[in-house]
Amino acid sequence: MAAPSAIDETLLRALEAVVGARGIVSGHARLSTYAADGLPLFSQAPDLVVLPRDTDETARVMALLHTAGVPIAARGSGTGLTGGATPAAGGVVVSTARMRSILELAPADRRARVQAGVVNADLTTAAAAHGLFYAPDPSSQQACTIGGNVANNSGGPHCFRHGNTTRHLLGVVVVLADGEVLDLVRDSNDPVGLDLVGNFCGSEGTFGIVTEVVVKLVPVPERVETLLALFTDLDAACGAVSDLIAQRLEPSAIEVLDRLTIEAVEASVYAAGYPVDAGAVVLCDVEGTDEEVEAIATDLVRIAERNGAFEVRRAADAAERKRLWAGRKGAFGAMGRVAPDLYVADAVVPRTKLRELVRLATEICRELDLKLANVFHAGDGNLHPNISYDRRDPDEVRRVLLAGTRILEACVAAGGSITGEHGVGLEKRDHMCALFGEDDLDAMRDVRRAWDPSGRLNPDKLLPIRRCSEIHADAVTTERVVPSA
Amino acid sequence: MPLSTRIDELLGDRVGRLSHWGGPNVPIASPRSESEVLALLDAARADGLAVLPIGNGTKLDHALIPTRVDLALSTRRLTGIVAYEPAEGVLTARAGTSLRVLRETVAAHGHHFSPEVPHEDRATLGGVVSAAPSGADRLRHGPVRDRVLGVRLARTDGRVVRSGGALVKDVAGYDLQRLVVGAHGSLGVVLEVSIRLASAADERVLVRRRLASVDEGLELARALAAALHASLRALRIDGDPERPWLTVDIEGRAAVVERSLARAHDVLGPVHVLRDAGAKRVADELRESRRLGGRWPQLEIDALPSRFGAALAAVRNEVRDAKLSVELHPALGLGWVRFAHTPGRAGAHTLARALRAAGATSRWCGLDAEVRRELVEAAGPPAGLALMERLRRAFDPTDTLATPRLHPELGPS
Repeated sequence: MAAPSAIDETLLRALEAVVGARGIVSGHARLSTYAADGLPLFSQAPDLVVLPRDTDETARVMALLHTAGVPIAARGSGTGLTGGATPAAGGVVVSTARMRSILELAPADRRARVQAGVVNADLTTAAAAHGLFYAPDPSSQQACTIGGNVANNSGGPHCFRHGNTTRHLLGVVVVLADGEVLDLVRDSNDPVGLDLVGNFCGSEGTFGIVTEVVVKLVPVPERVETLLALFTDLDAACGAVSDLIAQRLEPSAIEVLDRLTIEAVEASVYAAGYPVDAGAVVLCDVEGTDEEVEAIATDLVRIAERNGAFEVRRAADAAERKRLWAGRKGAFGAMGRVAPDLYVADAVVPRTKLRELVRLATEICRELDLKLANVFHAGDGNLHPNISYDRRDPDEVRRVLLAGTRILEACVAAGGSITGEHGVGLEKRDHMCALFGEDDLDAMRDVRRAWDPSGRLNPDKLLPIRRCSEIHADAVTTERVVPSA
Repeated sequence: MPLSTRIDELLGDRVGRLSHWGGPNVPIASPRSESEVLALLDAARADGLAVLPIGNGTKLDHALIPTRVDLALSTRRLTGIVAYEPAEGVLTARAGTSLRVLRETVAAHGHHFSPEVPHEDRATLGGVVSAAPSGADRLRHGPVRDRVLGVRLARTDGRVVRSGGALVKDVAGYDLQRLVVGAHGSLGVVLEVSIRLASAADERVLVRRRLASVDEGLELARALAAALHASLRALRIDGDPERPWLTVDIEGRAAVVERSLARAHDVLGPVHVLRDAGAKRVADELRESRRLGGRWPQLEIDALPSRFGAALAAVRNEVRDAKLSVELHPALGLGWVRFAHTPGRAGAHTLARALRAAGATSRWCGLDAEVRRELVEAAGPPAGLALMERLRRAFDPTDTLATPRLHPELGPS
């Protein structure tokens, strides 16, 4: 095997001795697979990909890379949407794809210990035999890994009730930049000392590489019911969601899909039976005891109707429920019918302001002559404006990124945030200046240095690499929308 | 003798004394504004004073007593709700706001403020975030760290930093608030906190039954946790371990509560059922029962639920003849054992060893400061201790904050 350019032969042989020949990926064609994650706008092939099989191998790999001073990007399944797994600075990608074992299921304590590369949906499948499930359920749950979920503090539709990954995280085993292993798994409710696990969650590969994870499992509810409220327009659907929140109703998921999304889903293999004559639908799961489900569902129907729902359907059986949710989770894939590429934005707004921000996003895309579809976690105020485009058209790419920036700025101005579940990565690094002041960012830099004094873990991600004053000045003068390398 | 000319000038006659907390008797400064907090920190740093951030001091001995304290800085005067939009279900308040004010404010709009902890009139929001105690409602509403959405923190170098915000979902940047929750003031002074509120339940019922033993309670608790999962607010065993009470705290929509009540009857047989004012009175009493006072120490047991029975057995084995009272939450694996005597240094070490052997973590309140430090050391360094110290130094490079609070090695050597 010929040594890739930035990795010398000695280092390559040493890495191969740790992970075996099948644990090394090299060569231009194979490395191009790892050049981007779910955000193809940013692309940079690594010099090498290493796939350790466990914590020990990861520690040995990291120690070797530490000695060689090589930058490292961690990667799960590469389903992230912000360039977080893209090796922006070159160097080595360390992938957890071969760490796929469920190490322990402990039903009595409602917890599971898994390797970082276990696929999210596989954990819920395994837990089902014990009447339990793993609550965070990103749309990519059939492919994304638990380690990736930890790195991004991932969400999903049912996080409305159950919370993002951090609320389900009981411990992690982390390998630091120099190869030191931190076993932060505890057998107690509360941490001894500072909550390093909570701080690690959502650090996007900049603190260390997670190799094992202990998570909380949740009992499968006695009953789950799925309701679909149909509206003539998106505005009314958003109004209904704000009202549901104001009335403190607690279904387990509240999702909104607009007409373009419905049309795309219904024309795809994910066809779920959504009515194509509706301007928007609100998809809700209600879970609990029979009495609880009935009571919440009754209130939900009443609130939807008073906000203009022209029909509220209840899924007749488990098969229909499954179909409705498969349509929701397949929506991003279905959008491939509309255009070759999809820009999935991720922003958060106060839940009282859903209606005005969705209107504004629509207006921004109309102004820039872009096709916008909306499918989002409305109950959490987590918007996903999805803009269809063709990456071969540079002007369209420019307008897409400009729209993304304007939408984020509008959300922040309304008291919202630049990301609810996808993370910051490379894409939103400079947008951190819209949300935080320099003192806030300096505190984050201090914390990052404490975890990774070498600065080699996912360098140039998450935190702006220039002062915010420079970034703001650039934005005013050049309408720059792509982070500078 | 003046503490510091500049601090004396800043405070005038607004200085109290912190006493009877297990540590030295020191002056308490209670600034009225954030700028006063920053000025005090600046003066303390310049004069090399060790500052202990506090709220009203109700949970100070939940952590280690620092080796040196020159001044307590209380945020009790930084009060008031900064933002509360009931339709959002999020509240932001200044650190000194009392839990009673918070609870009553949000209750008027159908919300519940968690955690429910003792000293409700005096305990402050900042203190609760810093000490992160387990609330009486933890089984249903989770730990403090899961409810804190954002904090504003004064660093000892005079910078005020924000982490998180007031949104129920937000993953922008590192979760520094996760470090601040439970840090007992070792990273900075908490100025303001945003909290995720819970919906208040329509109905609440307490079911109580006298038990023949703690073991009977543990067995019943297992059955109840499985039968009532969705509506359980708390499930606890209290009182004299020879003849304790089992309390099942149920809440939810009316129909759900009635169904759960019927299930509880099926498991427990005849029970006392308390509703409305009666339920509230007993719930308030139970919430306050964990407050410390007098001379007797309290041991916290923290274990996996599956090991909790073994951990308790280990304690009982070591203190067979001792007079105790307990508050046990078996579904969580958490419990408090209150002694009617001081177990002494040897006894405390023996208990801690027995609990470690049973796979449980133990923490003491109200025990001699030196003995508690020994006990923490005997447990060995927690994973990531060197990283914790790097983080502490990143926040407080001048060692202005009084240490150690979390571990004997978290502070200047």
